[in-house]
Amino acid sequence: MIVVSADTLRRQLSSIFSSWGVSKEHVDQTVHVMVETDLRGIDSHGVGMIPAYDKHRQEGKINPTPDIRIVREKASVALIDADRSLGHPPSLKAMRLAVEKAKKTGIGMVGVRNSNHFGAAGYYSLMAAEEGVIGMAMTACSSPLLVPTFGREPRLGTNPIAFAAPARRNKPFALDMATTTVAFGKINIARRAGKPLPEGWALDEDGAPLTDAQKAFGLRRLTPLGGTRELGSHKGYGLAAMVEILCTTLTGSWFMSRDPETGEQGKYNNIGHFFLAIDPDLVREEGEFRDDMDRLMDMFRGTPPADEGRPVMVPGDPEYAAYEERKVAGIPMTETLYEEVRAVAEASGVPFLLGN
Amino acid sequence: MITIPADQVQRPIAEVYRTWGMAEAHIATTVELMVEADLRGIDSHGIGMLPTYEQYRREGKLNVTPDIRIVRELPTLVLIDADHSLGHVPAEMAMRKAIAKCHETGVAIGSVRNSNHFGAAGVYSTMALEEGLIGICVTGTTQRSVVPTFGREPMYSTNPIAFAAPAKRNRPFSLDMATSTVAVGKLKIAERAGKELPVGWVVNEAGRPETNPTAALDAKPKRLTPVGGTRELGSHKGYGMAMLVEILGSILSGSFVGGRDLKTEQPGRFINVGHFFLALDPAFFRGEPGAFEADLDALIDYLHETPPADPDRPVLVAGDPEAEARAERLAHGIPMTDRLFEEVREVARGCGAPFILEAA
Repeated sequence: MIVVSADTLRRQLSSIFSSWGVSKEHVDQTVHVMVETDLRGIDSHGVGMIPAYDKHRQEGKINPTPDIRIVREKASVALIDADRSLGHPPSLKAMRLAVEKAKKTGIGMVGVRNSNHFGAAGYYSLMAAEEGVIGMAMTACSSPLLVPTFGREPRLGTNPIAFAAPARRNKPFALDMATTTVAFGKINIARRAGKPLPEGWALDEDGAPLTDAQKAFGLRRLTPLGGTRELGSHKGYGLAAMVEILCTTLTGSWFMSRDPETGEQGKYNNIGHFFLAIDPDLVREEGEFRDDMDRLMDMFRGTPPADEGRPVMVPGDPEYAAYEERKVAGIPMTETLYEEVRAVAEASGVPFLLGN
Repeated sequence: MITIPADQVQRPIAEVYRTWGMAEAHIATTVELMVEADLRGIDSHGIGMLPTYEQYRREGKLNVTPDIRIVRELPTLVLIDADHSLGHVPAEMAMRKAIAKCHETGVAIGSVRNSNHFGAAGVYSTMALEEGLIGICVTGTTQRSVVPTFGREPMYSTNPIAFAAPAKRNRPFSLDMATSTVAVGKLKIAERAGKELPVGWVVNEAGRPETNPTAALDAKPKRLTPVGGTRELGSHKGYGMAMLVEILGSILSGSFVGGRDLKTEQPGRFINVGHFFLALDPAFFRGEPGAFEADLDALIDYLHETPPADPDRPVLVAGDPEAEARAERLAHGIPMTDRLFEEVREVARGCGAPFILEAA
């Protein structure tokens, strides 16, 4: 494992994106979101995405100089066209707009179409909570991984749901979860470690449980949250479909990069995102919500634990702990990722900065 | 099992509420929404709740003549105080308000405090469909029955999420799910069948898997798991979704959590359930009427066409089982177990209401 500082990683990512012709503003925004994500310990959605972004760039799916514009707008709602930008800049714009609308009208909901991978959904929802409002962010994906209950082929992405809410004494409540049982990264970790998968994470071509991590990595068939029908996978599947509807159907984007005209893989990803903000101070008396959030989080953390050494947490706790540690110690990277970043830097014609 | 024609179920329930002194308009709404849950096959949340409602009333937790009022109103939101009414009437009012506002504003929310059990969340989200809108509904609950990941005591309950979106050729998409792995009803089915529970449905007082259905049902309080069942299979996500529901349903409205006052962590005189409703206008986002519905048809087809693992068991889309149950039950009646039939008769007798249910 290699450890790099957040600053070094920022410089490396900035040089790569700049070499693609991305504007300084968009580079700064994208790099900020990516490095914050790594600092929070969500390794799969920060620098770990750079090889995929580079691939999409080479395939012409990313527009480095997009004209991100508001297509339609009312006091509480808006639709943004990302013009095939990297997903982070239009998403920041959308969440900022949603928060602004929420503070004026109580609620703001902004959809984004024609976008790309936006990093970790939790970044955007937390952004709202840090502004004192409830935030929700969801996204569709460009390739299928989730096999619907009773099926044997993947049809939806890992379709994450992120939700954050401000407290007063506590750091914000911050949920960020894929609607699959596990993220694809977990399969990769098991594969590298040579460990079998627990039954209920992945499926084979027949739709039967698959515990061979190497095979699962190749087959790319994840179960919806719940794992099996018996343990409620139809609920995870239902949530994933809800995310797809709010991100893709509502905004007029493509599902699984399929061009609706042809039903085939399209030239672009055309991913859709969904952002929602609610100002609790316009629903209740000012501050009451934040006080009750403190009480709720304290009460749940106080749940008697099954194992004295392993306390009950609330969503966000593991990420805040990772942040404190990584801010000081730096961001760990696997050998593989380190080499992949080197390759992207080379392909982009910029110096590799992560070396000693 | 007794089967009652759908059009005959309402009256005996209405007669019970009449003896309580409920207003006729409240009776009509409550009974209609309860029977709608039964029609959709959500047996646990329709007529089956009547004995519990009667218990709440006897305990003084229900106000049968509530003054349901709007506490706060903006063009995009409404906060309603249910005054400890049974949940159906204030919930319906909040959803209807959100729907009406949404036509103007594109999105709107309804928040309800000081309420009670409102039946099935899905009957409110689907109200939005009648007007071509997307509907969302979540609710807090009356008690504690679900144990957070790594815990051994329940802190909240089945905290459901319902989401509905209109299609054109296809039936609407309609998700209505508890955020627990299973509901208590499933434990009863396993007990009757003499089967062990799968690991991941219930935990015991030490927080370890409980597979004996009788022990699971006799436990006080009951200890269900969040969806995912175990940490390894993602129960922390089910727990996280349940907290999302708690925050939108209970905290945003200023209600209790699992029947506990947040200030004291103890039950209060009332149950103080909170609900949350959201309506969203797809026509605003798509810029033209019908575009959303056509695309949702394509998505639903794509999901239905997933190659099945077992050719005899096709892939479904949320709302399919309920729509099938509804068609079947409208035609052939609503099945009731002998036990529920007796319980309803008992409630009617206790209230001095005429009991006029007859099997088909």
